[in-house]
Amino acid sequence: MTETGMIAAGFFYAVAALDHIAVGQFMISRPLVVGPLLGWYLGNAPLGLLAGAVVELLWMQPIPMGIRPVDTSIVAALTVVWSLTSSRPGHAVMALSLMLAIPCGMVVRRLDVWSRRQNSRFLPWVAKEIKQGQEGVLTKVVLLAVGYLFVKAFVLFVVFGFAGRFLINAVLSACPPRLYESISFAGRVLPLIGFCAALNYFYERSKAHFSWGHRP
Amino acid sequence: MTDAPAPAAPVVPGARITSMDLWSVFFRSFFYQVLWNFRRMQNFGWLFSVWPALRRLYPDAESRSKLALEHLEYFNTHPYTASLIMGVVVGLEERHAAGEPIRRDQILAAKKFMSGPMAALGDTLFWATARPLFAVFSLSAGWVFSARSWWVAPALFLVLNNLLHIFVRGAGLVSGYRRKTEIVGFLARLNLQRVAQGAIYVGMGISLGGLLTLWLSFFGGKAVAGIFILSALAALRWGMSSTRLVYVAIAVSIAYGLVRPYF
Repeated sequence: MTETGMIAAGFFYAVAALDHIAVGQFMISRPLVVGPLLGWYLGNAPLGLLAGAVVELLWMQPIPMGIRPVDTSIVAALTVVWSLTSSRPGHAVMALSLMLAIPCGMVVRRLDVWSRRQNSRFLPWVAKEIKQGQEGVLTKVVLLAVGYLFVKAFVLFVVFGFAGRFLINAVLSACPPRLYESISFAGRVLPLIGFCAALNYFYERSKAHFSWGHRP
Repeated sequence: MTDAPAPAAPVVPGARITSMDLWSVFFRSFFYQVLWNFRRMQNFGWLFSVWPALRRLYPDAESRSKLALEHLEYFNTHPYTASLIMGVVVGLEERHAAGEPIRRDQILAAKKFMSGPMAALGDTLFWATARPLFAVFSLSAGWVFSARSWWVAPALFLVLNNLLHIFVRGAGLVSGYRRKTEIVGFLARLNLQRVAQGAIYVGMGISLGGLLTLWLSFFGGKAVAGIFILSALAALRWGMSSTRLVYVAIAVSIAYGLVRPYF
């Protein structure tokens, strides 16, 4: 994959990342969508679907913000990009990529929380502008936030993308064949683990109280 | 005699919300969470969304800015069900602007007291039930087709989620606007709790089916894969997080792969 290809993938991811919380929430940012679409762009949609499905199944927690520890969109996107741009695409690289993408997802989550703290700073400014009759401030501040979120997602993806690709290729070149086969087995086990997580999630939910209103 | 105080904003005879205003609120509601913050949560998104209605009802810029500041207070609910509260508040603002005995504090109280139940409804119905159910359903349906039809799972997932999502946003806004606070009783009669419970059981069945299908098609060590499944389920039941489970599963797989040739 060329540098231009990585930048184009970053552009796609940044658009999808806006959907995560900020704009629309049409589920374009979900791993099940981001994974296969990036896989299709990189020439191997089925592997993209597999990686996206694993991430989707593993993290089915209800709320896309708050206490959730990882940003699943970037975990899926990086897993797919690294899996398909490495020197030996396949199950082994998918497992390696997922291992490396999870800490990146945690970093993105931390940055997300930091960004929301910064959003509070707009409050006095917006209130002052509205008091002075400057009503256009609302649109201005919303567009500013959309632009910031887009640039943040794009930069993070490109930086992680290049760094991770270098790291994964270095690991693969130093990896003995038996170890490679073992990691490949891990990659084949991951979808099973994903479905276990999904089954456990639904089981937990079936026991949970549905507490928003009248209970018979 | 009514004890309702005079409205805070000047009365605008004949000021009515048009369908264009509701469309405008609907489209703006897609930016509802763009400036989510820890101090007042979704206050920016709320004001940004209902702004076209306020502009229509209160042409006087000074009184409008006072009302805008009221709507910039703390607010937090589910992004999909927020449009229902928007509909209710826009409807009440319309009556207030027309000089009906609706007090400002009644409007703000309606907004405040609906936010909690609507958040619980949205989180439970959409994030905790519909989205996971659509994910496992789409994946299972996608795997029924061949590898060449990779697009089936994401397409189905997007269509199912967004049919529900856009319907709830649109219908919520309109019915909230028409029914005002009576919408709460209407929602209670829908018995969505039972629907959600049923959907969870369907999701559990699909997940179990998907797991068994994958296991049966697993080549190169079905018995070992079976042990992995049982161990993973046990670990999850004991409270292991998905993140930790991934690392443990990969580590155990590598260890198994390395020692296998010696047995």
